Amino acid sequence: MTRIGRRMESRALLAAAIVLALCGDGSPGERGNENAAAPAARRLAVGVSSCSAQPCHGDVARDAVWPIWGNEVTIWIAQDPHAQAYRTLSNERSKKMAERLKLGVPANRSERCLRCHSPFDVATARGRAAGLADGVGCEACHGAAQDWLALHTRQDWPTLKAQDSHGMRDTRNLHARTRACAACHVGTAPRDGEPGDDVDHDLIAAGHPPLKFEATAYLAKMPKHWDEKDPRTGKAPPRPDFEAQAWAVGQAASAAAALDLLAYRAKPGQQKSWPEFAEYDCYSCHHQLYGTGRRARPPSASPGNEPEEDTAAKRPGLPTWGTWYLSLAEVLPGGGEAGSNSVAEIDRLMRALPADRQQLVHVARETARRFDASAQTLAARASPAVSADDLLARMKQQAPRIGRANWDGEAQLYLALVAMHYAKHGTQTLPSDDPLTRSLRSTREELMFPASADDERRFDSPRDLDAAAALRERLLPEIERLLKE
Amino acid sequence: MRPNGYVTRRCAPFAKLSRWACRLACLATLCAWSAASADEGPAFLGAERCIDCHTQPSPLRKEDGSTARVTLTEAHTWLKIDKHSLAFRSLESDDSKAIGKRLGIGVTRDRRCLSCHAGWSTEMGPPPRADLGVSCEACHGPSSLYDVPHTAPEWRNRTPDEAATGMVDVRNPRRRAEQCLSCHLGNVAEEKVLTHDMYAAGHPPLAGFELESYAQVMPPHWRPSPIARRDELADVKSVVIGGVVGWREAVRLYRDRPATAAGWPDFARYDCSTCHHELERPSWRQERAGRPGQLLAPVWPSVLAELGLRHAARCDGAAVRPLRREVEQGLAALGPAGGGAAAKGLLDRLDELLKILDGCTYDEAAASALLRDICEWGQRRDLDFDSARQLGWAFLVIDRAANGELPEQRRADRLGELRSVLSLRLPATREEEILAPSHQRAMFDAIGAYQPSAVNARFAALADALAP
Repeated sequence: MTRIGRRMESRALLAAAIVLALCGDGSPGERGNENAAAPAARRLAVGVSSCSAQPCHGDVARDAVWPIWGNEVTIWIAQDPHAQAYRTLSNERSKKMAERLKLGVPANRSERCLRCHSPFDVATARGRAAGLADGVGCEACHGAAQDWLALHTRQDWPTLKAQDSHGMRDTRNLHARTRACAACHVGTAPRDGEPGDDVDHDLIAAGHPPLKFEATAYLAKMPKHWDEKDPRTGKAPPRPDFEAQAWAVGQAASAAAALDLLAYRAKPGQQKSWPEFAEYDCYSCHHQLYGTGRRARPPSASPGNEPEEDTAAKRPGLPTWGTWYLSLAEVLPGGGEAGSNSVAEIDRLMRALPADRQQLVHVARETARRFDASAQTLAARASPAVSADDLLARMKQQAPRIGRANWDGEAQLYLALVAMHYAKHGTQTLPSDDPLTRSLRSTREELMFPASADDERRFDSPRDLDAAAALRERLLPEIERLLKE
Repeated sequence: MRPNGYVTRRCAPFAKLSRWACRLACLATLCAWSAASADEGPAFLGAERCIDCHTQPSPLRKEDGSTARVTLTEAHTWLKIDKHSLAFRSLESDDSKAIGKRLGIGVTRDRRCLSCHAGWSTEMGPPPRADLGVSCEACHGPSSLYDVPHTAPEWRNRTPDEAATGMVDVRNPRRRAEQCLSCHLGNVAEEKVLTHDMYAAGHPPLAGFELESYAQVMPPHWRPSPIARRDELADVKSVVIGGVVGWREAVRLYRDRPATAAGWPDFARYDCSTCHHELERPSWRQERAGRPGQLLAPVWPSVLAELGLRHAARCDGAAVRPLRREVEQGLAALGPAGGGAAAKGLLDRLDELLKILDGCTYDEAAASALLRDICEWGQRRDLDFDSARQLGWAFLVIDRAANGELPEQRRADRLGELRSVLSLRLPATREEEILAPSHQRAMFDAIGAYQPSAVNARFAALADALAP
């Protein structure tokens, strides 16, 4: 952003802050952030090479005695896709994207890309040893280690850490963990003088995959370099419903991150275009007007065009908002209170004519705060267990609304069912001979995007999906079956 | 030639009745006409009045030579073959009712529908019989201005000067284009505007309108123009003029109804296929110029205007060179966001272009140069579906005008391929409903399968097949 742009933005921030102060609704903490003129002193990263010594975290095999594994860096470097995050920026797709976006520099030299793909290369935050090629290394998740590198090797570190973490993130806490993931996988609004990480519609159109983060599914895919422990007892393995809790925290924390980002995007005076299409369901617009799947009937008779009973005021032809991060919000324990009213209000504002962006920013920020608080409560050790059965019962109740001919909602529901299946078995793998597993696998097939039969084209949209049928014939029976288990 | 005058002749079929009664009736007509025209400005008198005379020529009309100029079966053609007379009735279909339900309006009463489907005028209100659809006066103008005079023999000797006659000069390609485009593209002053909610509720897309192609599938209720120039290929002129007028009307539409005035964009002002496509890789869309991820103004209305610019440059290069520069600058400043001053300048330039084009020749040499222009433009790698269709339609019309109905085999094959890959056939008969699944399927399948490279190759092949 240019200097003028920055100045304009800080004025807009100030104006927004004043309005919020006058409304008396912004929490003091938030206002503090908004007004932060000088960034807080930043801790420097020391780089993966400071962690990867063989006696520390770079052993070839897992240590049987230590509470930590000792081969964390080895696992990360050999199996974890995060280690490839920087290299991705050098592939053909990234090169093309940089050209299309007219970045002026290759993607692997652009701050906009590096902020997520190799977070500690940003000149001001890079310690001497942190290299570009680290990609998403240890400190991207655990926090810049300048101040805790020496300390965390001490015997009494657990005691010290309880008083002052010195910048080490408590990744055992599901809330802290998910917010760390969400910083890149959902996006971050600029804060404390740091530019944000925003995969907006321009970036997606240039070729970046759209961000559709689901914490449990992503964690299940990630090669583990730790034992999951019960947040309450600190012992492994965690109690059976751990996966249900992780899912609920992940949903609430991701929703909070998404709403924070919305509040930033919607801010009036922003040098970004509005409406920001990345906020909406991709496939509300990106679909063939008439073809297969739910568009198999001509547009005039398409069931997708029927007015929805509960949103009678909805005009035809407006994209749907909040389908990924908020479609299951009401399933969350206390989700109804956390946000359903304000989510409906945001939904209304997202389509209002003319757009009341000031109000939108205000409601989005307030709702984000509530979701974040809810995620914190759910993640807290003292929190009552989140039961998979309770969640499933609510999913059953909400399913008809969630899956209203909408890929996002159904994919979320599918991922939730997989998480509940994990919760019921206390693992992150599905028993392969199980009929439910087979059913879930074919649901997954159905939700997957088609490949063109006759040429090399690959689709990135659910061209052939009849979402209403998928819900009726698969997802609802699967919920029933899980409830019976 | 007609010593007794038209008024008495007109009453001849009723001669056995009281001559006085007839005179009285004619006098009443005259009074009604003069009252309407003098006191209340132009008014719709209704298609029923036209139908009286224009359904079946009386022996007398045949005898007096009227039928050499006009068929006098116009109303018959229009009522029995022409789709325009179904425009209102189509609103009564189940599909239309469903559209109305989604929009929360009654489609057979709502102004947004009737302005086009029944020729409801901003100034004159609804026509007396909305149920007749797009009837005579929707195109020819309010008949209070010409109802009686146009029956007089002198009418035939008048020049088609609209200001003097009050009747729209539909023989003039420019005026014809304006009349057709007011519905087939949109016109804010006439309150004929399709918005995205109407499309989303199920209205078929309007994108794509090549004047002459549409005119040629309309069942003709007219005779060839008596004042046509023998040395001129009228169809070619119509394509070129229609193309420039089309763009001018599109610019006017953006000026009068900017896409973002209300805070939320009216997506109907943008190119449909900017958003409405399956996401796929690799994608030709990403190779287009411009910022990724932004809405694009539709290109198709300007494609044939480019033909006009090129044609004008060939007949008056010196005048067109600065004009082209200004048009390009105006275009750059415009976009679907409106841009009042830019639009004004651009509209003026396009009017100048039309003036130059009026004086150009449209002979076979011109036609073959235009065909080459089309093939060249058709090989652009960022060609979108709607633009490709404009080019395809224009090619077919110009080719037929210049090279005859029966192209040699090689060209015929290639034209056939182009027709099918771009779904160029227009559903012009009354049996073919635009909302019918079979028609919608063909068109949307063509859009869904569209790849510029396939169309590029076909235009390249056509260029080869053109005579050197």
